[in-house]
Amino acid sequence: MNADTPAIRITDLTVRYGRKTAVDGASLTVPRGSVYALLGRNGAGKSSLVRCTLGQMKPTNGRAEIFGSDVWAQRATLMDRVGVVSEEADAPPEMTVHDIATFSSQLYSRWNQSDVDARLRRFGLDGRSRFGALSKGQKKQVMLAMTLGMSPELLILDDPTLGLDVVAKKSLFEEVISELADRGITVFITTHDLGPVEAIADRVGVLKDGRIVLDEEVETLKARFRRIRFGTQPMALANASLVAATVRQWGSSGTEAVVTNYDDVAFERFRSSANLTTADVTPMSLEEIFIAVAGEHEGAQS
Amino acid sequence: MTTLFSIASRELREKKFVFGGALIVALLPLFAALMPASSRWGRPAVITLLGSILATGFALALATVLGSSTIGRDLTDNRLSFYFSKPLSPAALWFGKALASLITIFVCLGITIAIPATLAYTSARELLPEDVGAIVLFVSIGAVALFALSHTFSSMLRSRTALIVVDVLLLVGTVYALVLLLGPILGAGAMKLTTRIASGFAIAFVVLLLVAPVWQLSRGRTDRRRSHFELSKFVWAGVVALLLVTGAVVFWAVNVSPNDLAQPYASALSAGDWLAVSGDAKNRADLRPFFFANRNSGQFVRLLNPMVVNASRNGRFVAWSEAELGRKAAFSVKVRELDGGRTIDTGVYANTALSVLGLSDDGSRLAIFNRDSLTVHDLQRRALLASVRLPLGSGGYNDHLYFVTPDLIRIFDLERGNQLTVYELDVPRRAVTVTGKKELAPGVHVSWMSEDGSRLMLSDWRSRSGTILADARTLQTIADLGVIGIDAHVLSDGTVAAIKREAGTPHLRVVNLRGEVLRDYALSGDGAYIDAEVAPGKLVVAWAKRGDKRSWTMQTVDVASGKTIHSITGLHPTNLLGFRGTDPRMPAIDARPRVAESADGVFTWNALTGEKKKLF
Repeated sequence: MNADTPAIRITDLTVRYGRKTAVDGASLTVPRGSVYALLGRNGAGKSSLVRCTLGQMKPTNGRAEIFGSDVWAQRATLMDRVGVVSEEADAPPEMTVHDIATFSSQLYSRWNQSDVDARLRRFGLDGRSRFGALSKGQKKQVMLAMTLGMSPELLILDDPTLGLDVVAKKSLFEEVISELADRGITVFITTHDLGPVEAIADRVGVLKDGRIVLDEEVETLKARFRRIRFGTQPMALANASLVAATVRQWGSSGTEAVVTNYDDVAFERFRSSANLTTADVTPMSLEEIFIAVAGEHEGAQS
Repeated sequence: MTTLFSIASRELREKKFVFGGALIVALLPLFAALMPASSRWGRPAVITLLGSILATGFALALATVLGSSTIGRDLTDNRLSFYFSKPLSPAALWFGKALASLITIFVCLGITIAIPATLAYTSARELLPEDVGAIVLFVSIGAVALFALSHTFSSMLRSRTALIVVDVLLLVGTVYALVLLLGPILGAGAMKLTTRIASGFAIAFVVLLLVAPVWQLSRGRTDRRRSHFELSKFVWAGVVALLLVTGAVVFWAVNVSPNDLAQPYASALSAGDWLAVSGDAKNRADLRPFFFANRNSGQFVRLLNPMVVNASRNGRFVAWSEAELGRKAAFSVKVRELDGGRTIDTGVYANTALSVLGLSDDGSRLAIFNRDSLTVHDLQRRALLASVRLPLGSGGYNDHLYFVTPDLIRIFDLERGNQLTVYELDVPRRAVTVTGKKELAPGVHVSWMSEDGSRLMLSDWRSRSGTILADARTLQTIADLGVIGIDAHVLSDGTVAAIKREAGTPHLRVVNLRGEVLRDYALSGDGAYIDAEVAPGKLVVAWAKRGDKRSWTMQTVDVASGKTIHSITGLHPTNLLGFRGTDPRMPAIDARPRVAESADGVFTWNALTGEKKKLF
């Protein structure tokens, strides 16, 4: 296998449930060693895409590959290298944490029990606890500990912060994921928690109504998105070749726009062509960009 | 394999509480036996019987519950992703879970049987049948089948899709197809064969259901609807394959030929080249087909389950009744012209097995004597010509009838085994007349009737009563021959041949109509009988030593000189049980090669040339 082969490659993937299209021709690539955050609102198709990526569901069209192999055909083999934390904690409720570890240890070729024990201790989890009796956050922690115990090359986290308290969330992002990323392990994460992701993700994708509407390096993304407030009509943006993702107007001449292709030269051209004396330009957080791209406001214009 | 056992052991740990449940169930009979009311039946008996019922019920209920939840619950609770996110195959997942469930069921069955059986050991030995092991095996197989069925139905129901309607329709279609496929052998009365094929289908179906989840999980994975779709696809495709195999097996079974008979039995029809042949078919359990086979061309007509069979005296037409499955009546009557004809449904039906059939020589009229009624049918016009009630008629197995002319039928009715009554039915007038009646001594039967039907011979098979030549219409005595022996036949020269045993040796004795002995030739063996006169004065007799089948010998005797013209050892004239011509008239001379049988099959033996030829 070529070292340049991406950890994940999704090509033109479509998932339909009857007449409803959950994922519509999605394509994305996750390079090895990177942290990729897939963002999307509820119902955007993230879970369907993740299930196809894990080989748990056959896409209606298209293909998902992990380490260059078709994941639908090679799932059992590939899963020895892929750690998964599902959106819903899915271990049988009757199993104790210790049972889950014992069971998992028999399935994986690179199981590290001491790593699991250490992680469980750090999470403050008792190995004798029944999985069904744990809180949502504790279940996630158990699954995370197990996932790390199998020494994955690729970690797929489907909304891992769901149910976690603030401390646990911070620990997940700052300790676990960062540590894994530092060790060169590829991380593919879907989440609503955009704040921490911004700090760790190399690349983000935004899924909206089943389509990938954005797939880019975080730095590049943040560089080209700006919020601009100015006191004239929004047409002026088009005259300066600035593309607005969202535009809001108030009064007769107040405008706020999120520009998706900001650069200083274009902005100067815009300011001079519109004879603006005041125009505020503010950088945007990933969360703001996400809201602009995936939010309800559809007033994009160029 | 390791993953399979990992899953199995995990599942077993999860289900260990069930063993506690089994222990409680096993002890329930003991508690029941402690109740005062149980002393009425005896406490050990209560423990044994209640224990048997509870053990069976618990095992079957457990199989149903585990079958419905083994994969189904994980699927509906979205927990299958736990397994599918791990490096294990669908086969390991299913067989691991199934293995654990089956171990649970069998261990629980063992607990619920062993404890009551130990507590009431003596009673269990007395009350339970000797083949209790077979019953336990049957319950175990039933539990496996229930487990597989339960999983299948559960997966289908849990998907909550309209596909379940298709499944129900396909299930109904499968049952219907199976009944249609098994119809021919069921109609042939081959219950063992039907049971074997149906059991084979059922076992293969259960195996299919046990394997199907591998496909279901492999293709459907965590998707509940797709899981149902893939399971249905696999199961119904498998069922179609099973139905095709079943159809092929049934096709093979019913397409049996006389050469497929393990030990064929045959009888020549009263004239012509056709034989009636039957016997157990090889490798087909209890299928016992019946054939009309042509001794020269090898052609044959196969009847799978004829109840009563008869042929016209000229051997051209045959009639039989057969069971009708799912039709308006239980039995129907079919007729066929043997040379090049096709089977005709006469449109005659009955709800009871018909007893005696008769066909006119031109095959146009059919007479049925059943119980006390006699009906005559015109087969070309499909019309009932006459239906009359016979005053003393019994329509039993020992009765005979034949068409004297197409408009006149003569019936010989043997009432209570000794009252022989002759009736004649005038068909156009629909009038029945009793033309003769005679009380017969025990053991006396009609041993011969002339070709023209005018005379018959009454002789005693025990050779105690005298032999009488009588008028076949009135039963008036023509000649009382005295005690001349058994199996009396009138020869073409008017003398009478019979077998008389003297000093332990059978003799061929020829007498005149006054009973005076004309010739007496000692035969060999311990017993003998007359087969036929194959040329004027040339009589075929058969004899054998008692208890030695291989000693059977057929020999052609020149009646005038007593010399043996030809003989053959190891063959004896055939006697096809279940086939008898109801037309008792015998040809005066039957020059056809004799149909004979041995352990090696059915042969023809030319009694005039000594030529032997194997038929089947």
